Amino acid sequence: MTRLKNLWASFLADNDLADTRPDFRFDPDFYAAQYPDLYATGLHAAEHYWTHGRAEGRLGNLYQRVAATKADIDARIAALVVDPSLSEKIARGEDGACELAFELIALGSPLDGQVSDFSQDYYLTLYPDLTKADMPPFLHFMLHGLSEGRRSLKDVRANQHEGALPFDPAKPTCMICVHECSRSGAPIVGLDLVRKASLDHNVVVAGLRGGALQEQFIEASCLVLLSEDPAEDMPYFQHPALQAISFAILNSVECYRFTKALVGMGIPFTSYLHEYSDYILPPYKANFMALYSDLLIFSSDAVRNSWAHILEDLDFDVARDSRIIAQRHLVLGTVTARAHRAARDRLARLIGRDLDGKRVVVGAGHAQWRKGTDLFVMTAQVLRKTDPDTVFVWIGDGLNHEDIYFGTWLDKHMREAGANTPDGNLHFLPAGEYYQDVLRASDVLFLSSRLDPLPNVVFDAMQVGSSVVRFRGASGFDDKTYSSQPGLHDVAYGDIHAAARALQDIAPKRPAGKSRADADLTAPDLFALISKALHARLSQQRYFAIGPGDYDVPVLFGTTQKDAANRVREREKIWSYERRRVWKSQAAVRANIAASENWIHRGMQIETYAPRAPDRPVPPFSMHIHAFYTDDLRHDLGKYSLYRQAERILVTTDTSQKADEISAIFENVGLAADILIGSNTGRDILPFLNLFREGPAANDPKDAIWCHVHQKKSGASALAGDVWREFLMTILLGDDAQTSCALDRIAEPDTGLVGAFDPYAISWAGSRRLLQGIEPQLPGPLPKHPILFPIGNMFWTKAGVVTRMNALFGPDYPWPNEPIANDGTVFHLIERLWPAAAAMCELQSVFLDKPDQKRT
Amino acid sequence: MAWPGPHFLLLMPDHGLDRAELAEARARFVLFEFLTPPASPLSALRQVLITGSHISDLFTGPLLFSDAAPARLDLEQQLRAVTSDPFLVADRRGADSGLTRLLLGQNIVINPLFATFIRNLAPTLENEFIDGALDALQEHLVWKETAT
Repeated sequence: MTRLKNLWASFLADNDLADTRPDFRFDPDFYAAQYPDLYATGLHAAEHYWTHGRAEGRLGNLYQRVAATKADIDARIAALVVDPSLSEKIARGEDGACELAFELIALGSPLDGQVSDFSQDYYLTLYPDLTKADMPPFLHFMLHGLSEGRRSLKDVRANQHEGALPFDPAKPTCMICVHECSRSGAPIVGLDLVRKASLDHNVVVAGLRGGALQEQFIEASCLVLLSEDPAEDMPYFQHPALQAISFAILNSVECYRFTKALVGMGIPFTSYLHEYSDYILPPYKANFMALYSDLLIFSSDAVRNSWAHILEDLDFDVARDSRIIAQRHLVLGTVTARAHRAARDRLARLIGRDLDGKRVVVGAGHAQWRKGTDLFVMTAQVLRKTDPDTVFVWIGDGLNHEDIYFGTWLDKHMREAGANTPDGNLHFLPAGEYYQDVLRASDVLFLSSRLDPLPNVVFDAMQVGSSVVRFRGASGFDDKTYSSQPGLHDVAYGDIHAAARALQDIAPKRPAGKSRADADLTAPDLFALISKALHARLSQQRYFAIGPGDYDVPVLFGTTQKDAANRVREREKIWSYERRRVWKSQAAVRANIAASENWIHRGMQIETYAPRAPDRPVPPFSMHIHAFYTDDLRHDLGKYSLYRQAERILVTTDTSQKADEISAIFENVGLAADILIGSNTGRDILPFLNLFREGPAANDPKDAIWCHVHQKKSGASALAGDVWREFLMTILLGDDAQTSCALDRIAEPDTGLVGAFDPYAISWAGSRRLLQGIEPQLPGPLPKHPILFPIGNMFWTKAGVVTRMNALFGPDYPWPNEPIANDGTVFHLIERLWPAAAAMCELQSVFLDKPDQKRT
Repeated sequence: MAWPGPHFLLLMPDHGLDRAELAEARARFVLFEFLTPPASPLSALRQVLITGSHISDLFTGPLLFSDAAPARLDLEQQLRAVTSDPFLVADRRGADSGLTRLLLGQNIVINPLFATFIRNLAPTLENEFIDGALDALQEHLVWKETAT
């Protein structure tokens, strides 16, 4: 027992508990809770237990209580313990070993996760409702969780795979992240990175999922970790390499989930990006990568250009913080006459037709819109009658006539085009080992993709001497590095007739006596290039922000106290790179406004919220409430006393049933409102704008004061949405005890807009796509960043400003109907244009900052 | 003359520099802007060494921390001192017993345990604990052989 006591003491070496609990068999806190009557007598608990209590059969700790009723508790403990010294003692059947283990685990974080596969923190993260349970998490797990199949660290650690290569502390250690270990584009690039890195680094591979290449990743690394939630799981993996990671490479935007883990661990990282921003959905994936990567590396300038709007929104320094590194070199090779003949014969057998004297056009990839499989089919149709000597062959999987989004329609088109018929000119082959022969047999590859960064098939085809025809603006081959390459031809985007002509102009492939295709001339040492670029960037950093700033709002991490330090870290990283997502301080906003020369920003002000003096006269004002949802209306009318001071209240909604309900709510709280019924178009804002077109506000004087609010809800994040709405409403209206100074501010003659200041620096985002259309209507250019606008589309304004906003769109504007996108519609644009409308009326826009109001 | 290696400038929340002055400072120094005041000068130094750990040559030569720009003559003296004793640990305190200067010889800074030692200091190390921290630094990082 002495040895177990010593072991207990060694585990508690850095813990104050060592003084109060010198022996694991006795827990004074447990004893006090278990026998409160004894404590009432004022006795010394430990002395009582060891001299009397133990002999009386009293319980000294939680383990003893559980063991008294749970016969298999020791077996459960034995299965849970991972600490070698404890495991050994348990295996030897040493008396008290399970009790010691139990009591150690019951102490909680971080000891529990170190000695066992249970972590209280992890358990509560997965099952937060247990924080309200009247039972310690570990006890819950032992008594209920285990048999209910609840997760523990065992599930996490089952995804930790020791690599084939040993961890060498003398070598630098890096982490390479892939979204999965499948045999597909990005993971194949990832595996190549790992193999190169492992020559002189310890490599930890982190993936969101496993896959066919998992064993190869294990072979080339010292550790492979798989987790769909790396930020939660990473702290619980155990391996010496994890403490030594000095940098990471995230390969593909789908690795965005690693950003949170890496920011939390303070590990610098670069992201190697192959994806056009057009199809990165939801857009936050790209935002997280750009906000938090120390360096962004793109596979081509074309791909980087597609990110330009995202980078501009974040004030990302493209020249300083991004690089282009091509994943392969494009080399026009040849194929021997013998190999060419054999490949042609094989292809002829595969598609069941003679290819003598035929021009073979090949396309490749998963059949889908992005790959332009339909454009490939239509191009074949164009040449079917005019050029019977050209044969089109597509190789790839994904044909599925039951896929209503694409396959059904492609299938119809293929049948109409005579695909896979003996007299047709179009043939489809599933992906297969004959891929190289198909390329060798081809004269030309037609890259029909709508967007395709740098597909491997182009490199592969050119390596065996095939020419390539592609659409301009559709791939990374627009880059100068490639575009002047002999054999690479381009035509206007989506122009299948031009493509057909270009294909016809391609000369048949000329096989050579000796092949250059066998030598791999196309692969640079990507790992060396990427890691060198990252280290160069890190060493050049000239500015660091340290500290939490004025607004503690989350980006990657949650809102709990547990994440407070990580929230500071995520903001420090954004600010150190001077990127824009959360404002540092009110002073920083003011400095941004002052530094801008844009005509809209000249009229912007940020001020601190204050309640208005109760004895101050109330200027006449009207309120508009758009009530598509009605369930919080009664609460709002009670909570915000300003409603009672409005001269008139106009409510818009979309059905007579809701109108009746709204009428009853108003009557019930002793208020009157005019209720207008209109179509459910334009969210909350078009009903407001319409009041000033032909509605009841059409004849209001231009300085008439209006407050616009709405009862909008967000189904996906109802709780956070409610907090945010209260944040906005309180700043605009006050509450039941006080009213907001916003009313006084809008009443000033030079003010045209008053909104709530939001600590997030929200950009044009999806609205940017509409700026070109609206900019000609404005007296000056739109700024690169709006800086401030009434986020949430709730604000105080004046009738003249609304009339000006209406004039921007004119009476005949074709407003889109529901359903509309989550961002990037004209209504999201209007939200951002209110300061412009105010500035066009030569009025100021004022934003009220209330730092003590909960935002998230 | 200049101190060898990178030069850092720590900006406290009330630094009052405008954009132009900041740009000028950035050309000469790596800037560390504290958005809230650090608990103590040593706490600030800890934060800076952790945050800037990827900067080239940070842990390759002697380190001078000073709460004010040192005069040229003074700088030469400090440099002579660390050159003659690469294990030097010398500090100067202000009225509140906070560090106004800390001088560490090259052998302290290049010690592979130095970065870990700094990281393990309490994040909010107040002035009253500086003696203990510096004693620990002497004990663990001054690897001189002593005569017995």
